[in-house]
Amino acid sequence: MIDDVCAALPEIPRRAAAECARARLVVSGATVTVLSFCLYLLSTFADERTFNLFTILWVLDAVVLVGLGSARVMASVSDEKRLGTWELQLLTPLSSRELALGKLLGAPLFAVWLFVLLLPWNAMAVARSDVVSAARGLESLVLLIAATFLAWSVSLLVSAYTSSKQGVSDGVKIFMLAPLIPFAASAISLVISPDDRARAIRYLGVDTPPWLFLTVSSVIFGAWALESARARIAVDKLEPLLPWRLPAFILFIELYQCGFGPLGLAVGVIVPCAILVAAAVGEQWGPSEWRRWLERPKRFWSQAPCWIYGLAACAASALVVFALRAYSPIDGSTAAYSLLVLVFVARDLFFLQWMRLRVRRNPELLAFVYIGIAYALPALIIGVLHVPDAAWLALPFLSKGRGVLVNILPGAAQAILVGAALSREVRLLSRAPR
Amino acid sequence: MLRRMSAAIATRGLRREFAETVAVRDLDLEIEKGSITALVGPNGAGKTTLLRLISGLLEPTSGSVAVEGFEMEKAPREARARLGFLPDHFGIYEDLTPRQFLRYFARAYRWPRLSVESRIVEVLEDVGLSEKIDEPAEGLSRGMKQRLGLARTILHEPPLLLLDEPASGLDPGSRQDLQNLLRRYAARGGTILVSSHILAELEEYCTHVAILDRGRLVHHGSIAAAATQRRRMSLRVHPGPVDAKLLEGRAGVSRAAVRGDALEFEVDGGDEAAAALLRALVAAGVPVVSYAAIDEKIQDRYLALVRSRD
Repeated sequence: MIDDVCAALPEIPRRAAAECARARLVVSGATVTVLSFCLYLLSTFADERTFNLFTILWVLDAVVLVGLGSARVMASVSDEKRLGTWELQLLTPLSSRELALGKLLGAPLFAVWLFVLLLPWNAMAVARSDVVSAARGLESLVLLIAATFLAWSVSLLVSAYTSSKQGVSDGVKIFMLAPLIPFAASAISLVISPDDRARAIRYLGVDTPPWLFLTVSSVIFGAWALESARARIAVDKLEPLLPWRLPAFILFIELYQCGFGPLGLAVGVIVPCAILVAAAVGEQWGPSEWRRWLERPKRFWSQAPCWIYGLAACAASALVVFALRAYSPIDGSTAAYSLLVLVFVARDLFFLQWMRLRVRRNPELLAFVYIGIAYALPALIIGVLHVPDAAWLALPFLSKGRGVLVNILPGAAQAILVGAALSREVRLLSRAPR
Repeated sequence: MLRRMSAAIATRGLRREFAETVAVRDLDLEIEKGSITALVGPNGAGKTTLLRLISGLLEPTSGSVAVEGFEMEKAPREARARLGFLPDHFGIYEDLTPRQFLRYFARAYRWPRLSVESRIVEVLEDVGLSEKIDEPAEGLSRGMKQRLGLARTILHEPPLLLLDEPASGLDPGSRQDLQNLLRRYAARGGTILVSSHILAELEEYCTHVAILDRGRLVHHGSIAAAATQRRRMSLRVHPGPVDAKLLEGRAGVSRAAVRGDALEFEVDGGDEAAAALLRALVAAGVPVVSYAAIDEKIQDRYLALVRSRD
């Protein structure tokens, strides 16, 4: 079995050879054992409410698995790109899935070793505790493993997006890691808490134990992050793939949020659109990408820019929200507003792409300056002239007295105009002599 | 998915752009199986980009690449399994020994499990690194790391080798070993496409030459055939000096120029045409004292082509 896994994922034995030398395992094993024994000894003298061995050991587990393990996974692909060994891996017939799984399971091997050493002490802490039941200890273990999977997957995603010449910028790292932080914090606080679990989370109308809710959520988001990392590696390996990640994530986020109750404005409209804009900016889709895409009709669907699919997903979602407004608890104005925001987002994305075709240096920065002006200037004029009723003509504001279509018309007209300008640029680009 | 199986590499309209720069320009190239082709060209000609496109490390802007009949776009896994690429700059896992390093790649290339160890020993012997088999790679010299990289490239016995400056960092003895290794590889039916700036060395073992200039393929063909198609000749007469006008108006003669006391020129049609020209010169009463073929090197051909384009 182990031989088969090592044969399928050669990254695991490579990491084992590089990082798990016998001397290192012995020294770390002795250190962890002595430390755990001391903690155990201390706990026998102390009151469980002031010195809770269960909590201390699970904190150590979390530091080892989520902290050390994630750091190793995050360095996995980026270090190889920096050292020049990544290309050697891309040259092998290993698939993107084999590479991704190899990194995910191979990079944190040493952290797993430390966790395995700690595990018996965790069991002993539960056994001698008057407060913590065996079932709760098991819940903590399951939740920690799920949170670890999420943390490692997101770390791999960040690592896979590192370019060979420059690392992932801190801004991008924070953006990609931001969703992880509240999840990991909630999960870890639940893992280490010796008290009874917090009150149940009501999801899809059912009261769900928090540990179970967080475990399932972590596994789902972790699977998405792992698959996205795999897809990014597949791009390096020139494997054909559909850019499903962004639309799937946008739709999933909306469905996931639905479980908590009616979609609010923030989660139903703003969050998907923010994800879409961030992805469009990060995709770096320039003239040569446009040309490559348009000149290869066979790969038209697989090489389309992700923002087009993301925009389609947001549009589909907004239309569904709007169409079902009469049959759902979703607020009617939220439903209409989702369409209104969408046309403005479409306008801004078209403009961003237009700038990328027209401007060579910092097109994104310039695009956002102009987009900022496009929002700020009308707001300023409206403010100075004290005509708030005219805001719907230039800004994403709903005018209560008018129908949805009338409200959308000014934004849609702007989107169509900018879209036409973009279309003209694309035509010029495809006809331009080489 | 399958292309002409007779070609080890076949590119069609291959093009790669980097922003406004066209690194490889609509390239049609077929490399015969069993050949050793020298890929030469000035800096920035697109040699490395071409090798990276063929190896599947870069995606073409347009056009296609097929390796041993498998198109890189449609069957990248099959195509990659059939090639070994030694990049100009590459890294090695310095915390592993050469044995562990090659073991990883043997697994990655799905080499039969039972013969992995013997294959590693064999390959390290081939590249002259067997003494260092169990020493950490971080202690290897640059040349030894280059040899280890070469061992990785040939480890899975690919039918096609792509080598980008393989002699870089090697001492003269190791360069000779490399040449011998490549000759042995080709003798076993392997195809090699090698890029290098050391043209005199390429001459020693290459059967074909492909010259790139500004992303375009300006010449590709067999080195032996080139000699039969066009001969560079040297002519001396008595009494001297020789005059270039002597050859004016003669069919198939070009690029005539006086070098020292000899007239050098090219004659189309190989040895037969050169002999006919000599007969014509003697018949015309030209006092020929020396008439010989100049052994044209890759370097001469390359310089002539590149200078003519300048």
